[in-house]
Amino acid sequence: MRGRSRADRVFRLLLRLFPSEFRGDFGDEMSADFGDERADARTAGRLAIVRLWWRTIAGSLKTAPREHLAVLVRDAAYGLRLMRKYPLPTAAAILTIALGVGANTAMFTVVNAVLLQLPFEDPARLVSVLRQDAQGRSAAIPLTQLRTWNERVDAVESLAGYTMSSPVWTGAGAPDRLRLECFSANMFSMLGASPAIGRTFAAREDSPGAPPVVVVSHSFWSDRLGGDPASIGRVLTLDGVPVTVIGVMSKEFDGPRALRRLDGWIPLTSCLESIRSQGRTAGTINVYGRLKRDISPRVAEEQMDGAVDQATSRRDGIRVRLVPLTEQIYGDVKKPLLALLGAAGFVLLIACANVASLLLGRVDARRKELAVRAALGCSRARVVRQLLTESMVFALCGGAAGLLIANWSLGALVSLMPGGIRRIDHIALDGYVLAACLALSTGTALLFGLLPALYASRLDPGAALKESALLTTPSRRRIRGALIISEVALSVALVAGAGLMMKTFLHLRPANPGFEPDGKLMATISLPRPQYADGLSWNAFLGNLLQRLRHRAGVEAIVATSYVPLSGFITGAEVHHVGSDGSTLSVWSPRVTPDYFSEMGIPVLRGRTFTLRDDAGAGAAIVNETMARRMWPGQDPLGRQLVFKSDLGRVSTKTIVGVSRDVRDSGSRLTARPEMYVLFADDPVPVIRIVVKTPFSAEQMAPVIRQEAAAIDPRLPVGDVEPVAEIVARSVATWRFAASLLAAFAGIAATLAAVGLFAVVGGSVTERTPEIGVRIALGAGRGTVLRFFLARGAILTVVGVTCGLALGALTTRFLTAWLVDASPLDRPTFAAAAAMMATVGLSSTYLAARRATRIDPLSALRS
Amino acid sequence: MSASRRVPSELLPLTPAMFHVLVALADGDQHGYAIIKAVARHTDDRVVLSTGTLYGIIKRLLAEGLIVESRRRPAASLDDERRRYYRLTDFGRRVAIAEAERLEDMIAVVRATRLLDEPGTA
Amino acid sequence: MGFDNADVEALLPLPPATFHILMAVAGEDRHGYAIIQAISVRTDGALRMSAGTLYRSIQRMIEQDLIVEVHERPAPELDDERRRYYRITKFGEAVARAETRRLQGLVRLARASGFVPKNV
Repeated sequence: MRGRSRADRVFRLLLRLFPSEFRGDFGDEMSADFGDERADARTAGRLAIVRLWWRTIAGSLKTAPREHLAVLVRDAAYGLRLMRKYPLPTAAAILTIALGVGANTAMFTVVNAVLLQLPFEDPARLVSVLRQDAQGRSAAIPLTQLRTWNERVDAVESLAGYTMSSPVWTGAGAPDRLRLECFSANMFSMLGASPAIGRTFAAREDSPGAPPVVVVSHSFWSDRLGGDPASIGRVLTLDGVPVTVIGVMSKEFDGPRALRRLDGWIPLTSCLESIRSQGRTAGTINVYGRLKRDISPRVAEEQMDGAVDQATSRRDGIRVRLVPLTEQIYGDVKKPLLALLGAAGFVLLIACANVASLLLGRVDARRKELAVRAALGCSRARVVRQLLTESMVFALCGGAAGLLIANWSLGALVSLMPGGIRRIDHIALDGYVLAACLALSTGTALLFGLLPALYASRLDPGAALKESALLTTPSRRRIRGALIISEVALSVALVAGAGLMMKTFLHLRPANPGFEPDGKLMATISLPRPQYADGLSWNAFLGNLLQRLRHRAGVEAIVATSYVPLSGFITGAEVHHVGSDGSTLSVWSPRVTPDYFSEMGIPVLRGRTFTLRDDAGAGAAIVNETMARRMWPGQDPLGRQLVFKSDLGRVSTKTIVGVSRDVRDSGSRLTARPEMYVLFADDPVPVIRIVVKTPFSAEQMAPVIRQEAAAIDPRLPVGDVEPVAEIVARSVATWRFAASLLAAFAGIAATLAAVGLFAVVGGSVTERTPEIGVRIALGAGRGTVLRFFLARGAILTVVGVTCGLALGALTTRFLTAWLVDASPLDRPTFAAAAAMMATVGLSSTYLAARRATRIDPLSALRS
Repeated sequence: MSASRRVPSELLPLTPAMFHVLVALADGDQHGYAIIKAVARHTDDRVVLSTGTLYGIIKRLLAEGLIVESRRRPAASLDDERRRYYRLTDFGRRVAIAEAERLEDMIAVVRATRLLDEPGTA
Repeated sequence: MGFDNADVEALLPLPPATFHILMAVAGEDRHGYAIIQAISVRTDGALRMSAGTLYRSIQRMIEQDLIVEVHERPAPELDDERRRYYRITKFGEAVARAETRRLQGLVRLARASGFVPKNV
């Protein structure tokens, strides 16, 4: 029975489930017992052996965790005692971890709400269906095509149509324009969304002639219907038609485009019907679909291309393209948000390095205790385990504090966020965030605890007991040095990133948007049909309103346009050269009143601006520089003629009379799109934006505008009145957000790195106090001593900054999408970041090193 | 021994397995496997401890001072030096008696309810 | 007896609180406070259960089908509407007997080993 049998080896493996201490105490006995048990069982037969194994394995699985827990509790309690014994370093470490975990938790909360928590079922299979040519221009998809696809394409589970509608709600206070989405009846089930109260549309309600119904959004229900559960069955008058409320959606649901401030949903068919009955072309719908499981979008695309109707445009090169819904909704914010999350990750890494360095210092202070343990037979693994448990206690305290920090900073974070980011209303701490915070804290503990623990486990107990604390082990100094270098490097990268964002922000903010936003207010009025059915009535209203407002006090000037730069929504048109049959150019086409350019401060560079003589059918047009370059490269655009097809379907010929300077558009780019300004008088549109130049505030001016509009038509809804400057500010909110956040992260990072350097240099000064004393006593000048310590700090700083520049070069490209007119490798920014961190590093080194020069040789030697 | 000043009732109730281990040691010092066998014998094989469970209990009983490691070893020929023998302490004995008393009391309560009269006779 | 022996065995050993509550409602239906009093009397005041412990145990015991809440009420003049009365189930009786047999076995064993209680 001597020698190791296979059973013995298996039993030894089972023993490994137990804590090493337990194994050390009882392991030998247990295997002796097990050997005897096996011998007895063999005589009793096969069944007894099976029973024995079963019992042994089950018993180990049950007992081992209990023993581990007991060890954990003891180690944690010891950790807590230590924390109480050294309150100051403990507080520093916890605060550091809290900053790191807090920054990450806050960022994760945002990412969680904006990117991860989609209110759809299995969102990976949802797609947006586009038909595009090689240049990425979209072609219309008629409703009939949707039906054909639904019948003939079996790669998709279902397809649903979508468009938007904004009817006027009357009969409940001031008339109000609602934001509704029009859904095919199957859209809700396709997205996997169910109502909070009531129901969604039945298929028959999405068919011609069905009694009109509406499902309202949760916010509309709670804000406008008083949150009354009896709202179901209530009738709302929309565009003069009674519509029955049949359901209320849940708070989370915001449709396939994740729009903000939606009021509700109506059936697609009735929506298209009402558009048609108002004489507008109801051609295009958006199509969303759900792929079958394990079907690639490519397969579905091919099938759908093969099932294109006769009636659907089949121009050359137009193909179906399926874009994942998540990408369409979040594509533009995903990368930058992840970049910010990454930046927060850097802060956490720095925090970890700092705490690791701090703990390393403490390991030295505890080397005697650890050596005693080792001498008493504590295994290396046991020492590592105990120190890791202590780290875990630190990390969990830090994590809890970090959660508080995250919770406090979330409000500020959200208020800084650009309004355009979707689901901003859903940002809140939830179970996922708590789990992430816990995981972060645990991971952090491993990260900062492992190095010191491994280091401690390698201490030579003999040497440690001999009290040779005069010299610190070079390996420890190397580890701490490496930690500091990485801290400085990470800080440099963060500061560089923050610098880049700051630069872009500063570049955009005062940047001439191309017009004068100050001292102007804007109000939007959309004229509802059928009361305002044609261009004549639109222009009559506009002329009337301008006339009335011009005479009101405080109105210095007033113009109208269909589009105010940077404010979104625009009227468009397609143009082509007279006589050419070929390619058209899609342009933005703001309708303006003649004095628009002078009042908005947009310079006309060539030709002339509009005059009153241009009115009514003269066909004058002014193009921006970009359009002039695009249509007539290297030629004079003045006097050229274009065939102009407005998006309302009207075709006319326009003559170019002037070229205006580019104005920044609403996108994040500084590059302008081709724009062609025409007069309201020539091509009326029912969407009017009044721009009033006034010394008055929006609050003072709004009633005046509403009053005059109501005097003409009391049922007309007037949108918000807001300063144009605010619209401009909002357009740079994204950069303000990113820049402030990165600046905050960089600030924390730099502070932590500075504290870390101070601690390391200060620590080595303390350790070497006797040695310095001797040197000073032997006649070494204080300058020499200072230089000695400065040199160490300087080397760490310089190496750190160098590594940081390389790291920055690798990481700042993740910000590319947000950078305007700046390369991610912008040299001045990198130079500034390097200089800043070098200064920070050297100053904190100097502060720490100065202490060395104050050492009194006598007292140093005596201690 | 400081354990003598401690009150046995603080440790009650014992888990059945703990109680069985104490009972097994009542006859004299035993090593681990002998305890397992004794417990199985006492309970007609209804309680068969695994080594993991047994040493979990032994550790706790040692820590509480209910048992100690015995210095007495059997004759060298029978001895396996990996083994240790365990002995019930006085305190352990008092705890076991207290536990037995507690059990007695519970049975007395049952008698008072006449629950043990088989159904149908009531 | 109609009960799967394994179901009974699975509940053993009973926690002391469960055992005493079971005994308290074995002879007659009792409401919560009466259970506390009965236990206190039977254990000579040694076990004074808190209401929290009692109702946590009762909740679990109802789930385990050891006791049920009874809806027959005592004479109206003795009744307090807020009170609920509990009664042992057949299964509860079976479990109680099994537990008692287990206890008796233990005590027999303890005596045989010389752990003789002073008061016997």
